[in-house]
Amino acid sequence: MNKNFIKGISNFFLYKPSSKYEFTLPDYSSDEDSNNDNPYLEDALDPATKKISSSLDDNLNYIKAKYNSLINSDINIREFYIMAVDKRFKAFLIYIDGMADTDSINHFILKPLMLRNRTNTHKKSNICKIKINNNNEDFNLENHISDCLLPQNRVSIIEDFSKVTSDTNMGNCIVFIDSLPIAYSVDVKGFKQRSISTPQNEIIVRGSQEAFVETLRTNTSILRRLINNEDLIIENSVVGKISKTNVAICYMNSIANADLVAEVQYRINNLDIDALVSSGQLEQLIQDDSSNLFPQIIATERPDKAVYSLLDGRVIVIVNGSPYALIMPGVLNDFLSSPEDINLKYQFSNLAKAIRLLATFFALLLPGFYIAISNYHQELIPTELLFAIAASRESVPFPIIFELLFMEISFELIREAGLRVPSPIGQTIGIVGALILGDAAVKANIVSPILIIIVALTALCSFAIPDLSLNFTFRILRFVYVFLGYFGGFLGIGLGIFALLLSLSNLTSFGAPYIMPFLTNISNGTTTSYFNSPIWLREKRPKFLDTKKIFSQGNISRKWQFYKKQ
Amino acid sequence: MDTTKLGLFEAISFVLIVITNKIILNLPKNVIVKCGNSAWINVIFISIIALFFTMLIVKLFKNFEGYNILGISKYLGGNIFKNIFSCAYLLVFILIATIVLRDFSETLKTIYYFNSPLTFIMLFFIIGTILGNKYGLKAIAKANLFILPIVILGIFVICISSFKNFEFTRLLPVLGNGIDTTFMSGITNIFCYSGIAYLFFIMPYLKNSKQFKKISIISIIISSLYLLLSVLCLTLVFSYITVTEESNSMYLLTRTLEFGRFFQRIDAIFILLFIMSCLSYLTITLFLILDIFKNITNIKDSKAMSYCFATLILGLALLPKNISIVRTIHYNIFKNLILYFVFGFSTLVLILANIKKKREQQGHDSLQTLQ
Repeated sequence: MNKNFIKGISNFFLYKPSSKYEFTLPDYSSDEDSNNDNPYLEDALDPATKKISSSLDDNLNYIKAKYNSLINSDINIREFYIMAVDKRFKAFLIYIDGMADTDSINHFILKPLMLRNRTNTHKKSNICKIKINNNNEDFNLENHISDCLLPQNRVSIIEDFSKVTSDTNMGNCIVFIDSLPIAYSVDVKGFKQRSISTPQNEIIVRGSQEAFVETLRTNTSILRRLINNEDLIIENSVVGKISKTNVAICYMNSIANADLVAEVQYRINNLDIDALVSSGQLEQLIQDDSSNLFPQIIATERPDKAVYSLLDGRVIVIVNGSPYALIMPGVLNDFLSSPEDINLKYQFSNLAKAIRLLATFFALLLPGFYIAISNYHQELIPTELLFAIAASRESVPFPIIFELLFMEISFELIREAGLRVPSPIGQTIGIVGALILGDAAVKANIVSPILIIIVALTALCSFAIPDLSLNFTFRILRFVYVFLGYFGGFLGIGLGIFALLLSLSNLTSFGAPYIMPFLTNISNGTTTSYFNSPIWLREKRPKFLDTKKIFSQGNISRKWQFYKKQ
Repeated sequence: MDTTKLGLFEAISFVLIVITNKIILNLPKNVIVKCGNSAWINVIFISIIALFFTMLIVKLFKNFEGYNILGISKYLGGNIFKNIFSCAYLLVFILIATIVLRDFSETLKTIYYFNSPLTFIMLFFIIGTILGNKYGLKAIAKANLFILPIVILGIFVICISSFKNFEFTRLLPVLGNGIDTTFMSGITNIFCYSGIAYLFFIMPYLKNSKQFKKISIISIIISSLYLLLSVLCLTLVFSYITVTEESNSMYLLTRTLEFGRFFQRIDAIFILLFIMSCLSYLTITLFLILDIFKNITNIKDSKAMSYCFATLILGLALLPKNISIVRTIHYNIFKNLILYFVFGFSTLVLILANIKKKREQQGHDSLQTLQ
């Protein structure tokens, strides 16, 4: 033991070269001016206006490139031969797995087109005769296929690729046939809709009420449906030697930083584990600094939050079997923001944010401050209040630190017990614990009434923190500040705040500085400032993401204001 | 994110933290003691001189972009001269850290921690500085950038809130102890701008070395304004006798603040700000000490040495028997050291290095003409 102790001490002082894994995105500090020209209109995500070619190979190559079919795991392209007018034509169809009903595709598209039947084996001359006899019209292969060979209630003929991509993204199946400069858009939508459950932990008043579920493909289809752009890449990866869990890496190809995407892929593809069951496990495995208490990856059950993040240029990772999507990188500001903020007018959301900031301060420091003030800096308390506190503590035999720890630990117990029992009993435990225990503790002279107020206010403030992981962090740090306040008063608290600032300043999440935008981002117009600007002024994407497209809207997004009434 | 370079604001706050700590640690009182009621005129006078001096330094550094004063000394006198010069600077910074640590800890002990041993108070600062240097330059600079605006705002609030206690007759006689002390012997008060010593070392850490001029001038101007504000407030609020007492004058100012009947003693809040400011200042100073040590010894990573130097500073800070000795060292030895070594000798080194550079360039040009 003695040897171990000496070894431990000598190891502490021994020089160890820094083994910190470093990945950094370019640092856009305040003093570097970025290009302020707004190229939004020129390079917005315009769908291609290219016309469909009569060459099937050209169309196929174009579609493959457009949808990045080699890496996009949910894009299905099926090549086959169709029978029409007793001839074979080369063809292919495209649909997004999870958004289209595959049964409908099999029975009402592939079967009538591929298998020989009475309709597709009619010779052209015979059809012409029938047609001429009925309507006196010329034979047309394009119309023949849609009218006679595709037994679907909604089939439309499309001529350019903009419609191809938009219909595919909506869940349609698009059929291309060799020698025809058109494609057939067949309505076979089959994605999961409102039956998906509501969010349980990220509840908001205004905004979407759907949540991710455990099925990977359903989750990706939700993203596809909300984004409706072929630029969304959903790559598949497999993690776990035994579990072989499917993991989807999602990002906007023309927005997200390529280095960031590559880094996420690199970390996920280099995990040597037996099994991956939840996104919580993956979060711990791929975050930058696992020893730091602060969360570095956002976990959300809300598809709308995931979509906002994708459009910002972040990367989303969805794990099969987990109803939480991981958003990376996550900076401190993200963990203090609620999904509600974007749906409210900026004045309302800023009020909520200011209250949340105050709540953060209290949740972290209030007990520490109380103990520091009552032990070292009593003159801060106004005289009348000081008398009241002294009178209330007169019959309490314990030191303040004991009172505070007793109440804090009791509260943590109530919270933990409330979570572990069924919800109706959980509420009862909360009421019994908080009211009866608190009241009894005061009456029994174990704690003073003022302390009950302090602990209750701290608890209330901690509930105002939107992120569960950050809440846990503050719960731990609160105890640290209590001890620092007890041992050193404001000197201890000051050291604690300084150490916290150092730790936060040193932290990065996938190359992004964690304290963005509190210290490093001074420039306006980005969506990274803590307080929201009016929605029409949020022109730029977060600077720290170093996105391929800087602007997310035009210089004048509300053009209607400037158009004269006709 | 570049973890070794400083941006514009980070660099400015790096220099500004020096003056804020000087203000906290009784510097305005010393100016007032020297010049009497004309201290504020003296501050304006020395500020103008400091600004010109800073511009001179910026000009002298122009030919040595990316170098600190130690690199320039190597260019001037070779490795031996550089090592001697570095050792001198190392001692200056150790002395700065020692004085600040002891002075501020004594102040805290007098005000709040009269039952705690001095070592206990000092240990909080030592732990903070070691921790900061473990995290590295960028983390220190960012934490400092967070703390500094709050501290500056705090000082501003203290000064402005004491407005109701202003007695404008205290400015009379306008020339205080006389023209001589205000403008001639008072010129030695320029040691208030010892932050210039930090400018000598900041260049290699700048993301954009072209911003050196901007950083230097902005930081000196803000420092001047704050020094002027604090000196003016102290002169207007307290009588000459009160200010010249040993107690911390800035703390005395916070004691006068009242906001209604309810908040009558809020000085502890400001003490919290001062503590964080002092922690940041000591961390930066220890960083520079390690940087100089790295320059002398060429060790790969000087972070591990932070324990040794922090312990050395703690030990040295405990040596003086009482606060009077510390303050004597501060305002006599340290003042002269700053004046002669930082303002005098270092500037001379810069000037000589520039002359050498110019001669070399002329020689190079004439060689090219001959060829």
